[in-house]
Amino acid sequence: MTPFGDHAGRTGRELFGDAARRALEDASLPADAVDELFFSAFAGELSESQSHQGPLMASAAGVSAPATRVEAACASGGAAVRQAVTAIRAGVADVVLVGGGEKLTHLSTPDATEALSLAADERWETRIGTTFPGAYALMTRAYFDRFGADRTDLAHVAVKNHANAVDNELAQYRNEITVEDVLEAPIVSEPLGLFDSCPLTDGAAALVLASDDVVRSRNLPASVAVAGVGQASDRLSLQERDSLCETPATETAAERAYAASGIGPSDVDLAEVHDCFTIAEVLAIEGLGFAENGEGYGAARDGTTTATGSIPVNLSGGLKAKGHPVGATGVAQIAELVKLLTGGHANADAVPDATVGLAHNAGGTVASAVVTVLEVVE
Amino acid sequence: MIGEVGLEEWLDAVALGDGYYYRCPKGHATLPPRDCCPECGGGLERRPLPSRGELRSYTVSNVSTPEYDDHTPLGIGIATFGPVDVTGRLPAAESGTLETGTTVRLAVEERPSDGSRVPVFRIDR
Ligand SMILES: [Zn+2]
Repeated sequence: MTPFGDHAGRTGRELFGDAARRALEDASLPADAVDELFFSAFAGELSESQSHQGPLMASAAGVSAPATRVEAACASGGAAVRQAVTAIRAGVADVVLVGGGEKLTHLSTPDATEALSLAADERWETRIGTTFPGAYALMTRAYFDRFGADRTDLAHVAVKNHANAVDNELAQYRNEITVEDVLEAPIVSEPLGLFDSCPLTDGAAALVLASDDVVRSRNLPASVAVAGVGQASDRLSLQERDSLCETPATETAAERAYAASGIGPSDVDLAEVHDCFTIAEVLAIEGLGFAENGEGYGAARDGTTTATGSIPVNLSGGLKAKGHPVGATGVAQIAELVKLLTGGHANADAVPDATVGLAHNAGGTVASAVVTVLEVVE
Repeated sequence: MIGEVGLEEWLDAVALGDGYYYRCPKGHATLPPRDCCPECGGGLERRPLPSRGELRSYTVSNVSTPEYDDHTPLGIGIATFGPVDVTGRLPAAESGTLETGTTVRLAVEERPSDGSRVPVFRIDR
C-alpha cells in the first residue's frame, strides 16, 4: 500500500507502481514472475481522464502480462481479488498481481460527488438528485425508524475507527474524535453528518496472489491463504430493493465465502468492513452474521467491535479514517488484514492469537458485495 | 425497445396523471420501464400506478452533483405506490413536516440546470 491521503502532484500510475513494487518485494518475487494483472479502479475517466488502465498500470509496475481493469464501483478491489483467485484456481495463472488505485482529492466537492454518483442509477437516482450521502441517508432513516437506533449509536462507529487509525502510519486521518465531534459536525444529508462519512482519498494498494504449487516450489513467504471468496449483486437502485435497511448482497456474498472456506461467522477473529458511512458498517456486520439484523448498531457503542472487543472491526481505521481511494479499498483491506494476522501491523497486538480475518467490500448502496476470508496457514 | 423514449413516455404519462408500472405473467411488479422482468426475464405489461404513495424514507441533502449545486438543500425521497417504489425530489422547505408514511402525489418537474424532467413528490395539505 501507499500511504492513503492527499498525493497532490502524483499520478494514479505512479501510486500504483509504488504499491505494486512494494507488494512484489514483500512476496520475494520478480516482476517477470507475474502471469496476470487485475487492476481495480472506478473513477479514472472523471478523475484523470483515463480509462483502459490495465496496460498502463502493467507498465507502471514493470510487468508484461495480460492486464485488465476491473470495475464494480467501490467494490472494484474486492472484485479484482476474486478475479485473481478465480484465475489461479482455474489453473490459468500461478502468480497474479492484483491492485487498485484512485486519485480523488484534486476534485472539487461537487465534481467528486458527481464522480462517485456514477455508481448509482443515472436515470432513476442521480438525475433526480440522489448522491451517495443522500442514498445512505435514506437507508439510515429507514434503519432508525425500524430499529430505534440513533445518531449517537452511529457516532461510536466513527469514534472507534478514528481511534484505530491513530497508530496506522498509512492512514489518512490519525486523530481521535469524540461522539460530540461527530454529532456537532455539519449535516451532509440528514441524518448523516460530515463525520459519518469517509473522506476523499488518493492512494493505491497491491497484493501478490500465488498458487500452492508456486509457493512451495519457490519457497515463498506466504503465511496467509485465501480460504474463500464470494461475490453477489443486488438491484442497482434503492427503489428496487425490498428493504432499505438490509443488504442481501452482503449476506449472499458472505454465505458463498463461508461455504467455500468452511469457516463461519463465529470463527472470524477480526474483520475489515466497508464503512463508507457509519451506517454501512452496521449493515455490514449484520449481513456478515456478526450481529442479528437490527442489533448491529450497538456493537461499536458496547465495545463488541472495538480493538479490545470480541470481534474487532476495522482495526486499520476503516474507510472512515484510513481513507477510501475507491478502487484500492478492497485490496487494501486484505493487505491490512494480512499484516494484522502476521504481527506486522501497528494494531496487531489487539489480535495476538487471530487466525481468521474477513474482508467485506461493497459497491454503491451494496448492489455489489465481495467477501474474502483469510486464514493463517503456518 | 425502452430507451430514452420509454423514460419520456413514462414521465408524460405521470404528468397527465396516467402513470404506470409493469407486471410480468408471474406477477412480479417492476419499475423503471424495461423490456423484460428483472426477476424472471418474462414479458411485461403496463398496469396503472396508484396516484398516491407513502413515503418510505427521505433526506435533505446539503451536497449535490453540479447539476443541483445552486439548489441545495435538496429533498429526496423514496415512496411506495402500490407494488413499486419511485425516487423523487421533495420540497426541502417542508422537510420538518415530513415523516415516514407521509402521503405523497407523484408529479413531474424540469431540472433547472438542463431542463431534463424528473419525478417529484407533492405533499397534500
Ligand atoms: Zn417476472
